[in-house]
Order: sequence, then structure tokens, then C-alpha cells
Amino acid sequence: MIKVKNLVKKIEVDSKEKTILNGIDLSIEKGEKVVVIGPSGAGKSTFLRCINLLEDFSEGDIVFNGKSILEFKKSILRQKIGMIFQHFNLFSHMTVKKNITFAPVKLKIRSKKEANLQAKKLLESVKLENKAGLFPSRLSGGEKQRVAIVRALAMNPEVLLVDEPTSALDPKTAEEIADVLKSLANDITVIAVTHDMNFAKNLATRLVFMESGKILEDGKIEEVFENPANERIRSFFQK
Amino acid sequence: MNIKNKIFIFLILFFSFSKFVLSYDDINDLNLVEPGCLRVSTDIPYEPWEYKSGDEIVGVDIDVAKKVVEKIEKSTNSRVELKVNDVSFDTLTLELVNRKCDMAIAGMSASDERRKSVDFSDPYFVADQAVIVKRDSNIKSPSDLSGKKIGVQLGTTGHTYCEKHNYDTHTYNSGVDAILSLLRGDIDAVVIDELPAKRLAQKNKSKVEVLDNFLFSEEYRIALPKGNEKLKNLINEALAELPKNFVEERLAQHSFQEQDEKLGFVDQFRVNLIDENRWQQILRGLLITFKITISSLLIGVCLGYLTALVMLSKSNGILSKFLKFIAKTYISVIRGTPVVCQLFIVYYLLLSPLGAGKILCAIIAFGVNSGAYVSEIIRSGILSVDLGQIEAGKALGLEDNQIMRYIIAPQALKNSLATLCNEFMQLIKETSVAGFIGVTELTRAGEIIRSQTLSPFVPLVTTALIYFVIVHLIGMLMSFFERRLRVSDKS
Repeated sequence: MIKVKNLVKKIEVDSKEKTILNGIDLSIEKGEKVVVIGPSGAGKSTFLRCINLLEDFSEGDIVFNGKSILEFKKSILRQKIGMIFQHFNLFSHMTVKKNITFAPVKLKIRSKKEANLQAKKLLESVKLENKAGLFPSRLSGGEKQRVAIVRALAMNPEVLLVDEPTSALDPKTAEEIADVLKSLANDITVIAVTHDMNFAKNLATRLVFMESGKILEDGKIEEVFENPANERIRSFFQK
Repeated sequence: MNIKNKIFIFLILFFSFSKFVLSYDDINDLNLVEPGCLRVSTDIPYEPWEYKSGDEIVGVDIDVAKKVVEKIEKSTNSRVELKVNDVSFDTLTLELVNRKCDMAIAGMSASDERRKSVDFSDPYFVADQAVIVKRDSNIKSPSDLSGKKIGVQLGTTGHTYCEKHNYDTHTYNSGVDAILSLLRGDIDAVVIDELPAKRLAQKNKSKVEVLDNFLFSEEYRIALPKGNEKLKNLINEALAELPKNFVEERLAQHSFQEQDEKLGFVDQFRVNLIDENRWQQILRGLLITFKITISSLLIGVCLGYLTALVMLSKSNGILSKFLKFIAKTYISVIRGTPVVCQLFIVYYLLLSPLGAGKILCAIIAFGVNSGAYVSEIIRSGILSVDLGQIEAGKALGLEDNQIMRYIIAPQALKNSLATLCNEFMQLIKETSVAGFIGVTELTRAGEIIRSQTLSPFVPLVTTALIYFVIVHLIGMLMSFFERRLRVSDKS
């Protein structure tokens, strides 16, 4: 479903070239739940943001459903590849319900009525049906992230990119978020970047370890945790 | 000294004395209505000719009447008391005919109609209002003036006359300003006293000329009952003996007299706002202030928005760099110079030569000025929107223009509403300098009334109060909207 081919991203910092992503190859099948872990600065988030073109890349390609993502119109690509952010990024001037219905209605994917109905169902599924009329500032962190998840899901994406969704939340809330993702995004391909090992174990079937813009390890999550092939990964887990 | 000489001197003294004694007129021959009294009728208020100061009627005409009384006292060697009575102008002649008064003095001219029922003295003042036009003007005589734009000096006879006759009147602080405006073609003619008119025209004689006919020429005379030759002669003698420039000096004196000490507040209020429907001038000024403010605010917001977008553009193309340079220059020039200078430059140098009217010039000057400030307000408003909001919009597949319109703009507006409102308040008050180029907005309207009534308190306080109320209302409106917009921030 998603094929990443020799992905390279270089940026210029103080007129010196710096390589952020250094040849990433990765193939993800439909419905897979992949977590990307690794030390800070490994390029995890950048990689994730390349997939929906929030960042551009210098070399290589990402193929989505058999077509290079560069051939997609950005807005169309992003409608199919949703994203969840560390800081939730709910639209602060819209109510919870409007946050969920706004994009589907504006992009003419759903009628207002359909969108409202869908929002109601989605909010019920994350037990926030009584918060529909509130502005995001009235919600707790966990509630905000749940709204952000259903907002992304309201677009019926094929892929969900998840960028450190729990790092602003306490452990218990983080667990809830993992549960919500698991139950709601069951059929969807999920690629999550995280530092949260519990979250990773809770959600994922596959683990990718990145360092210095490269993938060092890629395998089933239990195997990587129990028997990391690489010394770097072992020391990372021990921290 | 011999006896002959003594007799000679005695005779001379005697005859001169006796001539003096013998030449006394008999006061009864003057046929005054009330013995020992000169009853004078006039019509107030007609400043500075006659008006009330406290309980007393004063003015240039009254000063002239006093000179007549002096003359009568001298020539009849008796005490004469001056009694001034206020009647309406149309009944002045009737008063004389019915022997209610001995003379009427009220800036009257001797029309044929009036001559049928009363006699007139020699003139004691000539008010000639000359018309200055461009040499190539199609105005050949004062009768061509109707419908034309006429410049006058604030508060002069010409000003009063033109307003009264419903000419399209434009006021200036000085005759020179009016002539400059005429030269630029903003107005079609200048109406001003004859002497300064000739002087001003002489200085620009290649371009302007004074029409041969006066717009109006009035000789002010004293009216008295028909057939009272004795009184008429005495009055004419008194007028002839007036010191040189007596009337002109009195005129100046009465024009600059402070009256508000003597007028009560209610009277001041009446004189400045009710009399001659002066409140309508304020209202008209207010409408022009609104017109200028709202139009220039619209220009300012559009211009400011575009400038902000240029400044925020991430493109590195040549066109974008060029536009950024223009925008930066625009903002720094406008913010670095006083708005009055900008107004003058727009008016005198840029637009007026192209034929733009004064109000249009003001609108453009204030609009361009406001745009520079608004652009910075909008720019910081947009920058204050969290980047995450924009990324969230992108990640949902929204188009850039949708993100701008539905995500960035509302939040930027909310963040900058208070400062935008400040700019609006500032703008309303700033438009008061439009009077510098002769736009009769609110402040100017107040100034005109002040020049007419010579009582500064009420016009100044009224205009200030109107500005205050408007700005205060905007402030309240803003708080209301802000509260509503801030609903989303409550936690």
C-alpha cells in the first residue's frame, strides 16, 4: 500500500547541508499498525510528515496505492492519509462538533446532515457525545486527542499518521488513546511515531527503529523488543 | 496795547462767542419722538453690527448712533439720551413712519422700496464684495455664479452672503488659501472684500482677474422719517465727522470681542447650535467625517490585507522580492511621516492636479495611511495563529485558500480585533485634519460655527463630545464582539 523507496531529505542549516533522512526503504501493507521509534533527532517525525507531504524530500519516492505521492494533488492525498498531532491542533475557534464536520462538509465529501450524524456516532464511540457543543479549550488533553482522532477518522482515510500522540498526556490517558486507536482504526493502516513503549506495544504489530535518518531495525514488535538485533536498539530500550 | 486794539480783540471774542451761542440749534426743531431722547431702532442679532452683550445692545451701528447723539448734544447744547430698541428688520421702516423712533440703524441699504416711506442719510459704510475668477473662466459676471464652487474666507461678509444665498460655499482660513485653491481649479471663484481682492489678484494677474461687477455692494445708511431735514443734516454732519476708518476699526473691535463671558450657557448653546440651524452644519460635518472614515477604513483594510500577504509571502521570486520591497518602503514611509504631510502631498502634489475632489483626496490619503498600520496589525494577527492550526487544516486535505479563509482569518481577526478597533478610533479622530485642505468635516464645521458666533466654548465642546461618543460606542461594540469571539478561549 505504501512503498518508501530510498527516501532522502537534506536541508540547509547555516549554509551547511544536513541530511535528515538518509535513504529509507520501507514497505507497509494495508491494515498494518507500524510504530516508528528511535532517539530524538532520528528523523522519525520528518519521515512521517513526508508521507502526507507536510514536508518535501530531496531524493527517492513514496508510492501510495501504486502511484507516487508527488503525482497526487496534495489535498487529495491528504484526504486519504489522515494525521494526528502531538499537540492535538484542534481548531480553537470551532466547537468539537464543527472540528469534526468542517472538513468533510467543506470538501463536499458529506452533506452537512450526514456529517453531523457521523460526528455524533464518532463522539459516542469515544464517549464525548456530551461535549459536542464545547470549544476545545474546555476539554482535557485526553479528550482533545480523542476528538483529534475522530476528526481525522471522519475523513475516512486509508492511512492514519500518528505523531507522538501521547507525549503530552499522562500514562493512563495515553493507554486510553491507544485503545481508541486500536478499536476505531482497526481496518486502517496506522503509522505512529512515539517514544512511549507501552503505547507502541499496545497499538502496533510492527516496529521500525530509526537512528540518524536510517532504519536500523524493522520487524514484528514482540521480536524486536525481546531480541533486538542491534546493539544501539538494546541500549535505547535500557534507558 | 492801546485801547483800539483792546476793543478789537473784545469785538472778535464777542462775535465769535455770540456766533457760537447764536448757532445753537433748537432741539425742538429736531422733532424728536421723546424730548431729550434719541430713540433708535435696530434688529439684533446681526453681529458685529448690533448684538446683545449682557443686557445691553452694542455693536458698530450702536457706536455710530452714539456719535450721532454726541453731535446732537453739541449742536443743541442739551443732554440727549440714547435709547436703543430691538425690532424685527421688516418693521424698521414702519417704526419710523409711525413715529415710534427717530432713526433706524441696522446695516440698512437704501432700496427704492424703502425710499418711498423713509429718508436715508449718507452712507457710513460700503460693503463691496468682489469676485475673483481665473482668466479663462466662463464666469463673466456675478450672475454666472449659481451652481459654481465659491471660495470664501471664514466668517467674512462674503461667507455669510454666500451661505445665505445657498451658493456651493467652500471656506478657507485666509484669502490666500482660497486663491491657491482657485489656481488649482478646486473652486471656480473667490468672493472677498474688494480691497484684498484687488491686492490678491494683482499678485497673480497673469492667471486671475477681478470681475468688474461686485457680487454685491451695499451702502449702509441710517433711515429716518421722511421730511425731517434738520435731523438728516445733523446725522450727515455727524457721519462726515466720523474719524477716518472709524467704522472699520469698530468692526474689527466688535468682531474680536469675547462674548462668551457675558452670554449664559443656555444662550451660548442657542447661538451656536439652534440659531440659523447651525446644528445642521455639525450634522453635515459629521456625515462627511463618517464618509471619509468608513471609505478610508475600507481602503485601509484592503490595502493592509494585501500588503500583509505580500510581507508574509514565502516565495523567493523576483516579483515577490520586488513587491516586498515596495511594501516595506510603503509601510516605513507612511509610518515615518505625519498624516497631515501625507494629506497635503496627496492633495497638492498627486491627486488634485489630476482633478480629484477634496473629499476624495482625503479618503485616499487616510486610506493609504491606514493601510500601512492595518497591514502590520493583520500581519502580526496572522503570525499569531498557531502553526499547528494550519498544519491540521492541511492534514485534513483543505485547500490553501480554505485554510486562509476558515482557519487563519477568523483566528487572526480575533487576535487583532482590539488593535484594529484602535486603528478605527484613531482614524476617526485623524480625519479632523481634513479641514486643512478645506473639507468641511466635523471639526471644520465646529470651527466655522466658532468663526460665526465668536464663542468658542459650545462648538469646540460639542465636536469633542461627538468624537468622544462615537469612539466610545465603537469601544463598546468592540468589547461586545471580543467577548463573543473569546467564548472559544474560556476554559
